[in-house]
Amino acid sequence: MSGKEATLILLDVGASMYSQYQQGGSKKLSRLELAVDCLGLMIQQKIFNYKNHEVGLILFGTEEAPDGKTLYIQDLSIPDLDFFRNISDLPNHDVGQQVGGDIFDALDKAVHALDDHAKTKKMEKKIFILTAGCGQTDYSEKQITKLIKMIEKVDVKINFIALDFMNDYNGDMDDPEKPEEFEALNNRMLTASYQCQEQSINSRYVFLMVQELRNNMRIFPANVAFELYSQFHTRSLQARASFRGDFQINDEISIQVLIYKRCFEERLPTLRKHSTLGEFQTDINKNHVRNDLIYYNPEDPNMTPIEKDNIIRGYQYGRNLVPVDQIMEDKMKYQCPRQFQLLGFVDRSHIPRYYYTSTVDMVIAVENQKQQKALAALVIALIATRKVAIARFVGREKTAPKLIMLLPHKSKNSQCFWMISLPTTEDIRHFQFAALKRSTPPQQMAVSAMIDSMDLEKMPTEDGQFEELLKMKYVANPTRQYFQQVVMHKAITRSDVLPPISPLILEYLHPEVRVYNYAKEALQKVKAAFKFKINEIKKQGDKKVFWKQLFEEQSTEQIQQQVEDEVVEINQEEEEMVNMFAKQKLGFNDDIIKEIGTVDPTSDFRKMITEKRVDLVDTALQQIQKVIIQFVDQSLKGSFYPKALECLKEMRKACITEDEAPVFNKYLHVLKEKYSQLVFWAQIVQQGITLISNIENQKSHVSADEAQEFLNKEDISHKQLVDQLQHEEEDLLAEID
Amino acid sequence: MDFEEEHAGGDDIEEIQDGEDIFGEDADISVHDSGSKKDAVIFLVDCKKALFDMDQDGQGTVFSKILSAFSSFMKAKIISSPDDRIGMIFYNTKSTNNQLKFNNITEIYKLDGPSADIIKNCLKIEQNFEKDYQLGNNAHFHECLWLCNHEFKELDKNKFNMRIFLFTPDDLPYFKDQNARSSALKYAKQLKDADVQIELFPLPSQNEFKIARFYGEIITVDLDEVNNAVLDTSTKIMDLHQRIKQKEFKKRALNRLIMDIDDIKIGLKIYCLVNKAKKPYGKPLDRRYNQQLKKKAQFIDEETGQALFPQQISTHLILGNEKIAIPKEYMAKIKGFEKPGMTLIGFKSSSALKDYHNYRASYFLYPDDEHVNGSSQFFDALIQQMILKEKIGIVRLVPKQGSQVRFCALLPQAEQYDENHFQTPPGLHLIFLPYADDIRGLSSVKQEGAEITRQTLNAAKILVNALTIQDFDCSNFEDPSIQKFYTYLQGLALQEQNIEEPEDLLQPDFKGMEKYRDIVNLFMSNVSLECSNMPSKARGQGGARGRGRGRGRGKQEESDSDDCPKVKGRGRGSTSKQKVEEEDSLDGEEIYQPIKKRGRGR
Repeated sequence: MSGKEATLILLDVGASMYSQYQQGGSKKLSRLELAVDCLGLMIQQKIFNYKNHEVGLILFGTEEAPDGKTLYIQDLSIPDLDFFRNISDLPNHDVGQQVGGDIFDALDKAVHALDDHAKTKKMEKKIFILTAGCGQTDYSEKQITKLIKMIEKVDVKINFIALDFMNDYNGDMDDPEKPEEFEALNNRMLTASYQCQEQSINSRYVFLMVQELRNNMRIFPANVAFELYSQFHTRSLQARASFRGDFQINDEISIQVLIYKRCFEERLPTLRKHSTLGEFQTDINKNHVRNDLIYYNPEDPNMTPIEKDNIIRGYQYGRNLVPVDQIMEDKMKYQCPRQFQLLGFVDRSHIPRYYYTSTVDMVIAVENQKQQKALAALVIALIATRKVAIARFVGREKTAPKLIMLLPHKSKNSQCFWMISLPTTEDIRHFQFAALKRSTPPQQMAVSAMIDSMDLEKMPTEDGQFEELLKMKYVANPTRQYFQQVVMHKAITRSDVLPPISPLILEYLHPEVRVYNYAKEALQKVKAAFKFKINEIKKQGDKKVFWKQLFEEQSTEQIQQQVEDEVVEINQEEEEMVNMFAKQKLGFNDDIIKEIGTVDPTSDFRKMITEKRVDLVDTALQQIQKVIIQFVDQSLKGSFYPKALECLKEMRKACITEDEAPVFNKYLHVLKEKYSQLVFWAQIVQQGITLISNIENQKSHVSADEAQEFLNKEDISHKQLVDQLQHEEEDLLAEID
Repeated sequence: MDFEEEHAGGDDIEEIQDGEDIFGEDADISVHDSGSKKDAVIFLVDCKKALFDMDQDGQGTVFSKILSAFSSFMKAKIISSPDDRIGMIFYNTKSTNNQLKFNNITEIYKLDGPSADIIKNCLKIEQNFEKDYQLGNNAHFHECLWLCNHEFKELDKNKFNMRIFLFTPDDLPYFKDQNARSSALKYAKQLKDADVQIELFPLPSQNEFKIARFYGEIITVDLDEVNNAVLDTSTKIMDLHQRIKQKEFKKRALNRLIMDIDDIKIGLKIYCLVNKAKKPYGKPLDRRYNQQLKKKAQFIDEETGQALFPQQISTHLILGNEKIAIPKEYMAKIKGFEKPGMTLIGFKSSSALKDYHNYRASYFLYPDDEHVNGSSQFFDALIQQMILKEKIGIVRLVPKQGSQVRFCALLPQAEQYDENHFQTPPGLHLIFLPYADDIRGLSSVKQEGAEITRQTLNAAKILVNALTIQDFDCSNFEDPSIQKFYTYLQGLALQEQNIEEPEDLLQPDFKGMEKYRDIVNLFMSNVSLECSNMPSKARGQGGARGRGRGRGRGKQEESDSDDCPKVKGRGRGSTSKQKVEEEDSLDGEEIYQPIKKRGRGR
């Protein structure tokens, strides 16, 4: 089993823990109460989300302990609700005589206990220690050093939750690579003043420990810890690869990859049925319900059950119900061996965002330098050329293949693909929609101002700063949160009263309260700019008009006349619509295009190349060359470079299909001659636009190597520029997780 | 065995219904978008000699294309909506056969549900045409419309969307006199009043097809669909396959909705543009009598053996080894803290929507001006401004009572037309955003960045550019699993002995890729990856380096014409095997050293 974890909680229950927590603000609660709240949240999450996390509890600073120091309350085991209830009950115990417990003695015992418990088993080992640091210790510095060694050896992670203690410590400053801050922190820690001497001593020791145990120990003030626990209810599971195998590039070559889940809907847990006949018992073996399922002939009044052996399935085919037995059923399944095969690469623009229909997985190369290089090179090349990979994927043996897309992704220092399913012809609906009613310039302006003032990324705060609202990364599913809240409440109180949803959840769920307030003026203007009117919806058929009414240019009067004649009960809105279309000449111009314009040059070019009525290939090729040069020359700070690049790519494509490779190759040299000093040329190189090789088109005299060499050479002479472009592009797609 | 009902949660485990795709009661789009109305379509075909000429692309006659379009239309219906009705009428035939006994009109298939029989046999109509029907005298056009109207009359107008697909090469039907023309117009008007829509499919002929000459007065346009493409009169409208494909599904909204922006209300209709087709659930049958069976679930109290009534059953969650009673009413309250509806919260830059922010299919939003006037104009301004500012909208959505609250991104889409005059509609895509719970942190996955040399990167770019599929379109791919299931089902329905396996179009075209082998190797040698199974005569394999006009795999079939009827996912690149000259320019290249050194077969 993966993801095993053992956590030992060390809770100081000395008298100092019963004092009021000083950073609590208006909330008046004792340190122990806060500590218990924190632990409650932690255990709640363990109970809900993890099936194999063990938790144990040790109290220290209590004279009830046999050795006067530490008392085992709960051995390491999977936490249950009784454990939770016991912890919640701790603050109600009598205050002890010791002020506080010996932190280091407790830690020492806990580390050994964990080591004994885990033995050789592989599991994550954690200690949570909660204390105000008022306990006396008889540990010497030497003993502490020994303890540190032990912690490293056993590899325990320690979360030190300090209550009114170690307040001057700041983890961000604790970084020897930032000498100034580190120095300041050091001074602060050495001069920190505390209420009692014990705290000073403990503080020094703890600081010493954290210096040595940078990777194994973290210190949190209690209120921060509480915040952390109340916000995140996500479970971080040990990621397990759902697929390990070859990503085939062609029939001979493949890259070994691993696939992990990245994004999918985390559902609410499953509820089970129980009988309410007897008294409800919490014992999971009581109140059971059995489901007896019978199939019977609907014409049989006795509903005699039919034996399973005689039941097969029937499938509707049109209006026939076709019986299919188990053997045939298996035959009808399309079963493939596990496969992951490249189908090709596709321009990103060919796959609209709404074609993303599935959950998202992550594909990385196995831990092997060559494999990682191959995958990384593909990822970066795809980012540079603005493409994605398309592949066939069969994730498990004997299942059906899926059409999937691999989106390149680069984070700070790693590369991967996001894998998403694409729809096939059976899934896609080509619906026609009416053109929208044109908005007026004032309306556009009102909407523009509305968008600006409703910018969630730049909401002004009270102190004149800006902050981002609704960062989805941190928004937990409120329904799951509330569900959890209800279940825990029910578990503790066993009452039938539903607790109200936490106001914290409601607050983050309704950021628009602030947004609307800030955008009030802009929204009023939108309201004024559009004549919104709510109508009652009548259920009725589609509204149709004859084609001719829309098509022919006619005077408004005529149309209105016709509308009255022909369209029954046409309302004003429809009337407007008919008028609008009548005025606005619709339809297409299907003339032969003889000239490449600057508005949509690639489309003009494509039309000329594919024109069947006349051969315009040569003309088109000549013109596009001029257009590209024109774009480059007329650019201000590269304003038309993207257009020129699109044209060049389109020309390259056409020269391959039309057997005109030499034309392109010659032209590429011309461009190089002319523009090798411009960013434009660097962009060409960065996007990997090179000479057409004789592999791509037989008319070419350039080999694949020469084509690559051409790029390499250019690449070196424009290294900086190309690098810069590349990085800009990667930054767009990159995200640091 | 898992039967339909069991999937619906009839088992003893009570699934909590979250993440449902349901907007309205009968709009469970995860099954199929049945909407409220069924579809009834009559293919009305003008049988002129021109139909039997070879089509421009040389791939069969126009007539055969209509038949195959009819067949695929029916097949698609069987998968998506088996309760729809389809019929076919020929006119201007020598034969006469119809309920109203009009001359020269032949009813081929009466309006009925799609059936395996028809799918199989309709393709044979062409070869039997001479024998069974023959070209004949002109029928009266108004009688054709009359007959269609007669057929539709038997259907409930409130339950069916009725459409006529009219196929003709002539832009003016035969009229004996002016009266005949007005009768035609009269019947067209009747059809329109009966909510029957006529879709015109002009066919190629000697003369230019001018819709305005006659058909403009009888074909109708849905006011919800008025756009450039509908009024297109260019030759692009001759693309039968594409156009029928487009008309396959009658446009239906899943639901109407109001989007709140403070106190502003915008009317919306929600559509589903991508809906994953699934294999249907089987129904239980008694194998002996082929009798459909009913299922009954009986819950029994295990302690007493007593049968339980629904109100004697409650639900619980097991937690920390205890049962915690969570009755169903609780669930409604737990999910019901937010009212159903859609609220626009604000905007973010479009880069905030990451590629991995996805866990399900999206919806499409289109303004509902009928419900709230001004919505259409508002959408127009909103879409334009959002695109200009590179923004996405963020909404909070509760699709209906009892569904979980979700945040979604609104992605603007401006209206566009492609080279074939197909419309990309204006509207907003509604993309469901994952919660923090839905994102798997991957910090525990070991990932190391690899340093890539510029040379390797260039090799990768060349590979990527060379293996690029031009004009890629997902609709050119079929789902092999669904196709196989239905092919078999059809075979079984027709009691065929040998059912032919449908071709799996979702396969890499290694053969077509052959010609790019050197480019792949160039890349792989750059990342110094061993090509484990390099055949001994690797160079010799270059023989398949197609020299034709093949454009690599994934490329559509060779024909340049727009209307080859079944362009599928991968047409194969040309595989014309030409002898490659001995002096392969790549042979002596240094980069191939590693392979040569291994000396396989050399």
